[in-house]
Amino acid sequence: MSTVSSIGDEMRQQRAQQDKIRHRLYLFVLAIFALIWMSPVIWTVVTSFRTEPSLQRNLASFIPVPFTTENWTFILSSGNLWKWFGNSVIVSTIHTLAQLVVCSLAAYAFARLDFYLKRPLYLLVLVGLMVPFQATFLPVYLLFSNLKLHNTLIALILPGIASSFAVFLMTQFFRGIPKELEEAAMMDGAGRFRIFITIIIPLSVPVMTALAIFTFLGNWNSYLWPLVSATSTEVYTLVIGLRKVSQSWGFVDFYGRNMAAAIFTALPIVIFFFAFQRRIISGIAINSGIK
Amino acid sequence: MSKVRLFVLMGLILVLAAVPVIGQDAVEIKFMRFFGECADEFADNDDLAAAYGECGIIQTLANAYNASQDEVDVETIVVDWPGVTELNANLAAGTAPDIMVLHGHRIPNYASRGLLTPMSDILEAAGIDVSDFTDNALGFVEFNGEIYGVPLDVHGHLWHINLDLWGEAGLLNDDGTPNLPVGKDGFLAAAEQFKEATGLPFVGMWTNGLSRNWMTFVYQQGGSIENEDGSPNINSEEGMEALSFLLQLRDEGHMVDNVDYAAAQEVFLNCEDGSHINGTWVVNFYDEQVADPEGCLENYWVSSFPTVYDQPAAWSGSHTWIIPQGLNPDPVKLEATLKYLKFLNDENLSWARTGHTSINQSVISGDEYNSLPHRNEYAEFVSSAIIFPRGNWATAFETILDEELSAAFIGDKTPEQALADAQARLDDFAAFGQ
Amino acid sequence: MSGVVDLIFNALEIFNPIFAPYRRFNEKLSPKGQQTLTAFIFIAPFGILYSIFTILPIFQTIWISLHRWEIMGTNIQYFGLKNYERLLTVDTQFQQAFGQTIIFVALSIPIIFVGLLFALMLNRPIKGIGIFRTIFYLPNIIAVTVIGLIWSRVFASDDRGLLNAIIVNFGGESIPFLNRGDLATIVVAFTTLWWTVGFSMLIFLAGLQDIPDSLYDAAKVDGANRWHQFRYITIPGLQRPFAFLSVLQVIASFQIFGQVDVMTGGGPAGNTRTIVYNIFEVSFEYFQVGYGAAMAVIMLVILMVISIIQLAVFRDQGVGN
Repeated sequence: MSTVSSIGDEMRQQRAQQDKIRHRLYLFVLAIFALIWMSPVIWTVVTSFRTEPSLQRNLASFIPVPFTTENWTFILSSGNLWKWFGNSVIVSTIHTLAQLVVCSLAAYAFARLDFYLKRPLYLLVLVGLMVPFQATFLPVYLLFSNLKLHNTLIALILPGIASSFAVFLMTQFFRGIPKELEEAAMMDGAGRFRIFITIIIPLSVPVMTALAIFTFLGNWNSYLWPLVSATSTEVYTLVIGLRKVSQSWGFVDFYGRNMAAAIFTALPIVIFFFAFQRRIISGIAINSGIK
Repeated sequence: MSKVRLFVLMGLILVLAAVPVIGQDAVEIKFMRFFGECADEFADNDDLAAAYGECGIIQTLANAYNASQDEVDVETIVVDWPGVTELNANLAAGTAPDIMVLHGHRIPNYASRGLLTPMSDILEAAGIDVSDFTDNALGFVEFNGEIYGVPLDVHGHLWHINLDLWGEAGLLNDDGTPNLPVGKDGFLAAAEQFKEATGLPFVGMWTNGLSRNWMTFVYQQGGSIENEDGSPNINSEEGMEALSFLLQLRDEGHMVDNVDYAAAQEVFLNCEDGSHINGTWVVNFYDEQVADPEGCLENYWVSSFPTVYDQPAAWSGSHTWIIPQGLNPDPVKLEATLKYLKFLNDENLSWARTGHTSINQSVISGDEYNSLPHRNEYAEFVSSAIIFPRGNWATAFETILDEELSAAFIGDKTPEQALADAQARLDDFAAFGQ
Repeated sequence: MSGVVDLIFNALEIFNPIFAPYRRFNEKLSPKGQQTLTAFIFIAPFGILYSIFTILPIFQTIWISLHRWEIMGTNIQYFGLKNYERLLTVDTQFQQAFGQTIIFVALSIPIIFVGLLFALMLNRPIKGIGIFRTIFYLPNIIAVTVIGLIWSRVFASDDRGLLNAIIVNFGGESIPFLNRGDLATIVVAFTTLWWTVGFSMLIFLAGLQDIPDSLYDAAKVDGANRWHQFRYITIPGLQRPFAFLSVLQVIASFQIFGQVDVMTGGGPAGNTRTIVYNIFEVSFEYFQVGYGAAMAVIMLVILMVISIIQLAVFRDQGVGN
């Protein structure tokens, strides 16, 4: 004998079951689609574990048989790739840190201080948002040529540290910090710089992390500038190094090696991404100004 | 002996002992080249007999030189082919190498700007015999009456033939050598005969880079890509005929369409066409394919470029060694560089093992050179090689013609339009460009 | 932590005598003057770098474009507007590159729609759907070199390319993807889509989540079906992301360089040559930085106009400084 409430319960349970099944089905279809969408990446990984002769015979296999680690041994023992990896790490890290420091200082001034020429200077900063790198890199290239600073890590670090976007972003953020905290500190006699270090910075960790991740990624993946500035193998970044090496004799027809090198190049950033994915994805929303 | 004198004597001995050490500080010179990166196989090899391929041989040469003496230390820097971007970047930054490989047809660009060290006066003293250079090679390194480079090789396009397939089509002589067709009608007849017998295309070439073969056909008609005043001459009767002939080969099924360098080569190596137009640089490589039991190429002959019109001619290029140190080079480095250059020149025969032709007459007339694989078969190339025009538009010629001819092949433009556009672009380049 | 900071600041007090003149000067200023001084010190590092690497180069590019200027510092002569004249009238290669860039801009429109599609697909309250968001965004963080390497291997001709190898295995004829102008353009456009669609997807996801549920509830009460809800609530609600992405997409398409350099080298027959690729070629292979600068100026003007449009649109949407 069933009561009204237990009929309701049954119905709810049934619907929950149906929902679960529908959801599982939906996820399954999505998974198939995702598999197809990402198949080139899967194929690349598989290819890196196949022998060259088997690749010459049948390129299109998704099964790594015969299996070999010789491509990876070749890649991992290539001193060059590790050197370029190190270059990228050094360049991108210093670049990012420098940008955070330089731009946050400027942003604080724009956010909190009232000074002469504030408006025109801020507009000048915003102008930079509209200027693409390709439109200004030629004179910068000539500048580094004249200073004989090409082919150095410095040349790869300097351009772009002063980022209008970073200043804009952090100015907005700083303005959102309640003034009371600073006012209290000022009553205690703290100078602007001290307030900046002790109050503003700790509160800005979220936006700075998001910005840091973006700047790091952008600099790591940059293509045009390292391509023209770094002309000797000593100074290549990983991204450019891959480009150069993939066309050399020992590579161009060795598909397995090529794909292993590609994976090697992408791996650091992919790991980085998975470590920080929440921040990255929410950071995009912040940085796009939508949220 | 008094203590003072003893001290002085010891000091003198020490100084004398140190001098050779100080004096023997090797001069480091930067040697920039393309030809690939093969450090894994050849980084330590200095045995020339064990080296093969462009990269292997040049790397071994540098290693051998370093191992053979203490005065000069050659540091190899590898760049992408053709090395132009790197050279420009280094010149702009003031960090140009001491010696670099450059295609001969680019020399005027750099020489005219005072970026190359003139060599006419210093080569003989360095032990390099200029009079031994072939005319062709010399033509590539001279500009305005001055020598700006030491030639390494002259290379060009040859006719690589699959003898077995030719045999099937009845195109071989009794002794097994290929019955090479002469003249346009002869060529087309042979192509027809081949197609009927085997069902395959007669000849192959990469269709996204036809400028060199097109140019060869122009010269074979007695024409030229250069006017008397040095301006480009593209939209000519001979040019039109050459392009029409290429299109005819494609349209009548004698040539595979839509193939890039690697694909065209594979067609030939898979025995899917009768012959293949490719460079001197693959002779070595194709011989290896013959030796490989899994490859289908069994009997292989190399002839010089097919003579389809009145006179033999073949596109040629040249690798040369330049000293991009301008008009005021560092004398110490210059001396060291010249020593290395002499070594490279002396070893020209080793480089010729790649399939490129040597640039020294003494080498070419020697037995060792002529006993290199297939060398007799394309001996004619040396005399039929075309010397590239020295105008300022020469470096843009290949890129622009490749594009326009490719457009005509793809069907984006009519042949007339393609040649007219190529002419216009090169004229513009000559007027404004370098 | 603040103890350490205190310590540092106390230690720094040693340097006070050096700053004494500064303090004296500072005290004489009005409050606003004091802030100005402080502000300039704060902004100085940024200002110096910004001037050298962004502001000054804009003028320098314009200046260089008025000269015949070679990259090795040779042959620098004043040339007036002749570079521009050549670009706009005689240089068919540039005109083709410009046209090709416009084609890429047009071909990038699907990216926004595909991004929307993905966002709609993933905007379900299903447990575990978050991982797909990560998967589809992943390509966007990979460098263009890797992307180009993988996809040029996928689309290579004959059995050297993955797709063609599959086609040939099934008995078909291989398609010369990268050897025909029109196909190569589509290949580059598709690769760009695969690479960047994740970004649009994320923006749209954020936008979708911004639309209040109450709107949907009210509509359901009024009897609106899924399609009506989509058309009258979702689409208008996504106006801002749409506008934002459109402008971004156009700007990004104008700047296409890496994929072309890695996959096609501008070919075949110059069919994938873009403006930036042309600038690169002209400046670094043919020495002519002056000429390249003229192209860069033209590109700069176009992009600035587009950016100004973006600013205007954004202002309309209520997002401002």
